[in-house]
Amino acid sequence: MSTLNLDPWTATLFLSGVLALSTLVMYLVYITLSRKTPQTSSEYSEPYIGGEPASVIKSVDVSVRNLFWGVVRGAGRRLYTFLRDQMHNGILNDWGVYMLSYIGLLTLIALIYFMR
Amino acid sequence: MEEITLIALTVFSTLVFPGLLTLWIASMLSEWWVRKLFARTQRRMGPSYVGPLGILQPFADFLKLLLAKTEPNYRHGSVKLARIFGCVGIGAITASLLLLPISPLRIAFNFDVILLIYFLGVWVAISELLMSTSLTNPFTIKGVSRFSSMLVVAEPAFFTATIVPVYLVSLITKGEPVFSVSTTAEFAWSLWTNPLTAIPMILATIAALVSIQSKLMFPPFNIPEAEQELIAGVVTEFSGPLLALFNFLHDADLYVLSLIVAVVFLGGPYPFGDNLVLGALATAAKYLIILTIITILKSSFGRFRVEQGVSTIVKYGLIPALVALALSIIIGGLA
Repeated sequence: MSTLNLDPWTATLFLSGVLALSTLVMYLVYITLSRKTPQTSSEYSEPYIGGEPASVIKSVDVSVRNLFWGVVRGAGRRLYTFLRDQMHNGILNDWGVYMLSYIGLLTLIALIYFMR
Repeated sequence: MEEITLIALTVFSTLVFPGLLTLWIASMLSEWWVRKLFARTQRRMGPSYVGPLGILQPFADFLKLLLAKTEPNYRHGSVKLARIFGCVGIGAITASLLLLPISPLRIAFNFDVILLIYFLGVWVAISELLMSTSLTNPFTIKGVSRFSSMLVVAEPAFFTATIVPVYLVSLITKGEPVFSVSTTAEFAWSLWTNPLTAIPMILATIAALVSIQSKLMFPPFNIPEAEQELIAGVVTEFSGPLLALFNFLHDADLYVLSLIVAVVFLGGPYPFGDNLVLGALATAAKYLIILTIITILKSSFGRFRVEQGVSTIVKYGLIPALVALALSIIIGGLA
């Protein structure tokens, strides 16, 4: 057992390197092992909508802006309004910002803890 | 010489233990345990034919999808992008494993729990969401939409619950480094023996289990992949190697989340941290207990609608986690 007591900045870089290395190895293993024969059937190039053609629905490619909108509006308007007004507007990127803000808050708490 | 040893240890930890190879084996074994136990609760046999008690069935399923099937040649999206995000998710889980005290190369520093939240809360969730949206389909988009709706409350619930033992250990035991996963594991068992700290620990554990259930899309939170109405939702377009990759990512998420509860809440190898064999057995036993509870919860409920799912996570996940954190702050102030 070996414990590396790094500073937060170095540790983040170190673990990001581990993430990159394992992602690369996983990707190489995946493309090496997965079957190479190209898929010839056109059946697999179209979206699967219960065996029906794409024309049965209005739009094949739903806008990314609708990711949250439809379901959350149906799920709970009050919760949706709260999330939209407070932290979320239905765009996935903003959700990422929200999560990073959450981590930022924790970092701030950490800094306050150290400063006192 | 020390640098060479460090590099070798880093590569070993990343690729072998607790990295990719162990992650794959442990994920497949966890899937077998969940499938077997889930089947038995429904009076089915579950995996039975490949290996003793069907223990090798998930390995066979994974290899069949990876080796025997072909990737979809999909027109409305990017197969390559799905592949990349699947691998990034696995990579993020591997990186987070190095923060746990089971790793031969352990990363520990003040407030390292933030890094755990960063890798598991941001990278894994975003990888799963973007892997699914890479192959667009109305059912997929609907499934991803439902999944992300639940994640908005499940992720904060899980990580707020995780902070409770970390906070209590740092303030009460004064262990070093502070707010660290490793220190928390070392002293977590002592939080259960103190009646004052046991209350927030019980609340936080309940919150963690509820949010794990929803993060993994297990019943009653399986509305994002509702087979009958959404044709598997988030995985509708996956087949062959891509399905194998998604299943691996999902199983790896199950493994690492259960392991975090076993380590951070129940203490992992401690109180036998000095004895390798006893420590490993203690971690395995705690891990199996958590996995069994998750499976029993999975088999005990029917599927909730989205709004029922979200409100259940708020009621039994987010609120208990916040209450536990508030109690911890009060107890920390008293200490």
